[in-house]
Amino acid sequence: MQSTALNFKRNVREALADQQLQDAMGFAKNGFVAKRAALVETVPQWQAIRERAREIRNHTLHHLDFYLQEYEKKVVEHGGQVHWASTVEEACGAIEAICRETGARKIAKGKSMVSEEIGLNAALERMGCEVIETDLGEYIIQLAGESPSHIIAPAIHKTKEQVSALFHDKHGGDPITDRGELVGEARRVLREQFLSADVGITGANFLIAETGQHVLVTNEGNGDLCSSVPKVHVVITSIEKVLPTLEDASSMVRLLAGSATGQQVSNYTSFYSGPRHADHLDGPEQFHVVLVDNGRTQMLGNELREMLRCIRCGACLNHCPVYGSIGGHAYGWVYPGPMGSVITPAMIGLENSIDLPNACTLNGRCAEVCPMSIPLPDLLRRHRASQWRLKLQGRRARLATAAWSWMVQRPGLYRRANAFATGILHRLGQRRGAISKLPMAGGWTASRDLPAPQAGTFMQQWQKRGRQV
Amino acid sequence: MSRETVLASIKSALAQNPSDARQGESTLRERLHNPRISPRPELPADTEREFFRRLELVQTSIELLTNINAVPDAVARWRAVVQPDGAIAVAPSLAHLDWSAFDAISFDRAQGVHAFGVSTCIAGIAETGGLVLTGSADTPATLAFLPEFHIVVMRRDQLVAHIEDVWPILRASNVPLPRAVNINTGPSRTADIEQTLEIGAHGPRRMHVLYLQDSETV
Repeated sequence: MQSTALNFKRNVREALADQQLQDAMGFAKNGFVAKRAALVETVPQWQAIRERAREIRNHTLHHLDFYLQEYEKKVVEHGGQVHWASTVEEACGAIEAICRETGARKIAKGKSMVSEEIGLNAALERMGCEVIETDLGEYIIQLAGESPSHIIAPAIHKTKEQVSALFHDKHGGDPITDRGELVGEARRVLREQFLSADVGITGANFLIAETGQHVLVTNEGNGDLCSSVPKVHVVITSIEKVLPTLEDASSMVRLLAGSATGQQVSNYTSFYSGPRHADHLDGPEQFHVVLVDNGRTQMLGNELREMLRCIRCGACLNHCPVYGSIGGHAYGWVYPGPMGSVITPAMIGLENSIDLPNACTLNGRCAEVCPMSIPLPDLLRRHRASQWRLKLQGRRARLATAAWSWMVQRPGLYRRANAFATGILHRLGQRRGAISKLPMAGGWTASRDLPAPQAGTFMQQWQKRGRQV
Repeated sequence: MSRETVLASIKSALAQNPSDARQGESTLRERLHNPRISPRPELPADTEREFFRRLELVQTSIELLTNINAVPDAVARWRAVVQPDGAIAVAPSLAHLDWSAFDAISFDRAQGVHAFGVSTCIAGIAETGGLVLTGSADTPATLAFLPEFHIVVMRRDQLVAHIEDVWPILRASNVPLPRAVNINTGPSRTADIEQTLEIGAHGPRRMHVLYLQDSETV
C-alpha cells in the first residue's frame, strides 16, 4: 500500500472536516470501549491472565527460532508447505507462484492485516486474478476502493447510508437501507464467490508449535468458508504469531476476544492443520503457509521488541482520543492508532512517518488496556528520541527542543523564566481565567483556550509557605 | 534461501541481548510436552446449568433428548419451525439412525444447495457456550458453515468446563489430529455496519443443540 503518512497533517485536517467520518466515528467511540469494560468487569482473573500471557509471549519471542521450526516440522507432517519470506516481494512472490501453479482465477479472501501490509491484492490482480474480500467490512471497503481504517473493523468509518449507496451502485437492484438486509445482500453475493473460488486465502491469529495448527478467529465465519471450500488454502501470516501450546493459545483467545469486542470468545475460534486427509469429504487439497518477516526480526533485536507481543485486538485504537477524532486513514498506512504509530515507522522508515510518533498525547490509556501490556507510549517516546538523534524533525522543532533542553539543565534560570512567563500569563488571563490567543502558539489556541495560571509557580508558593504543605 | 535468512536474522537479533539467557532445547521440549494451564475464569459448580445459560446468551437454542434415537424426530421438528429454503445435509456419523421420514437427505459435506446441516461434536464448553466440532471423515467441516440453519448433537458426557479441557480430548484420541477443530459459539454475526450487531453474516443464522441425556456413543 502506498503510504500517505508524510501527509499526516493534511490528512488530519481533512478527517476533522469530514462530517460523515465524524458521524461514523461517533457510533464507534463508545461501543467497543463500553463492551470491553463490561466484559473485564465479569472476569476477576483478567489481570492474572494478562500477566501470564505477557510471559508466554516474551518466552516465545525469546526462543522464536526454536518454535517456528517446530511449527514448520508439524505443518510438513500434516502434508502442508511452509514458505518463508524476508520481504514484501518474497511474500507476494510465493503466493503468486501458488496461484500460477494451480491455475487460479478467482480468490476468496478472509481478513488479513499482513496481506494489507504486503499489498497482496494488488499483486494478485496484476497477474490477472480476481480477489474477493469476504469479511463484510473488508468487502465494503474493497467495493469503495479504500483501505481498512481499523484493524478489526475495517469499515468503521462508513455510515449505513454510504454502505447502502455503495451496494446499490455495485450490485444494482432497489436501494436497501435496512442494516439486516444489507448484511443479507452481502451474504447472497459472497456465497457464490465462496463456492466458485479456486483459492482461499486467510490470515492467522496464532500459530501453534506443538500441533502445527493455526488459529483463525472471526465472528462471521467467512474465514472458515475460505479455509474449507476452495481446493487450495493459503495462510498469510507473520513470524511473531507462533505460540508453544494449545493451552497457551487458550489464554490468548480469551484476551483477544475480550479486548477486541468485549466478547467472551469470538463466534468462530478455529484450529486448522494441513490439507484434507484421504478419507475426508471436504477441505482443501493443498495447504500453504507463508511466514512473513518484513522488519519483524529487526524489531526483535532493537528497543521495539515488546511491540511483537501485539495480538492485533485494536483496543489501543478504540481507547485513543487521537484515533477517535481522526479515524484510521489519516495515519496514512496499514496500521493506525497507537500500535500503528509504533509499527509503521519500523516497517516503512521513521523518515517516511515523521508525524506518527508525535500524534499522541501520551495519556497512556492504550497501555492500560493493552492485553499484552505493551508500553505503547514508551515505545512512541523511543521513536521520538530516534528522530532527534537522526535529526529528522523540522528546524523549528529542533531549535525549540534544544532551547528547552539547555534551559531545564539550569534550574535557577529555568525557575526565573518560568516565574516570569507565569506572571505574564496570569495577568493576560486575569479577567476570564483563560487565554484564547497566544503569540507563537496560534495553532494550539485556535481550537481551545489556555487556562490562565494562578498567581505564582509551584516553587514560589513553596517558598511562600515556608517549604511546608 | 529466505528460510535461512529469516532464521539467521532471528538468531542475530536474539544475540544482541546476551544477558538474557536462553533455555536449552530439552527444557523447551519439556514445556511443549507438558503444557501449563494459565489462570482462567472461575465457573459456578453446576457446569451444566452454566452451559445452558451460556448457550442462551449466544443465541443458541437447546432441546433435551433422552437418547440418540430421538434425534431424527427432533431434527424434523426444528426443521418445521425454521423452514429452510434448501436441502438437508447430515454428518455421516449420524447416518445409522432412522431418517426414513426425510425424503431428500444426504450424508455428505454441505454444498451450495444445502440450507440445513446436522453435525456431531466432541465437546461443549460451559465457560462460553461453545461447541467443539472436528472436520474429519465422519463430520465434514462445511456442515457447520455453509447452511443457514445448523443443528449440533451433543452428549451430556461431552460437557467440559473450560476451553483448556478440550485439548486432552484431542490429544488422547487415537486418530490423527482432525484437519479442522472449530469452536463455534452461537450463530454467525457481524457488526461491520455502524458497529451494530446483525446475526447471520456468512455462517448459520440460527443454531440449535440436541442434548442427549443418556451417554451412549453417537
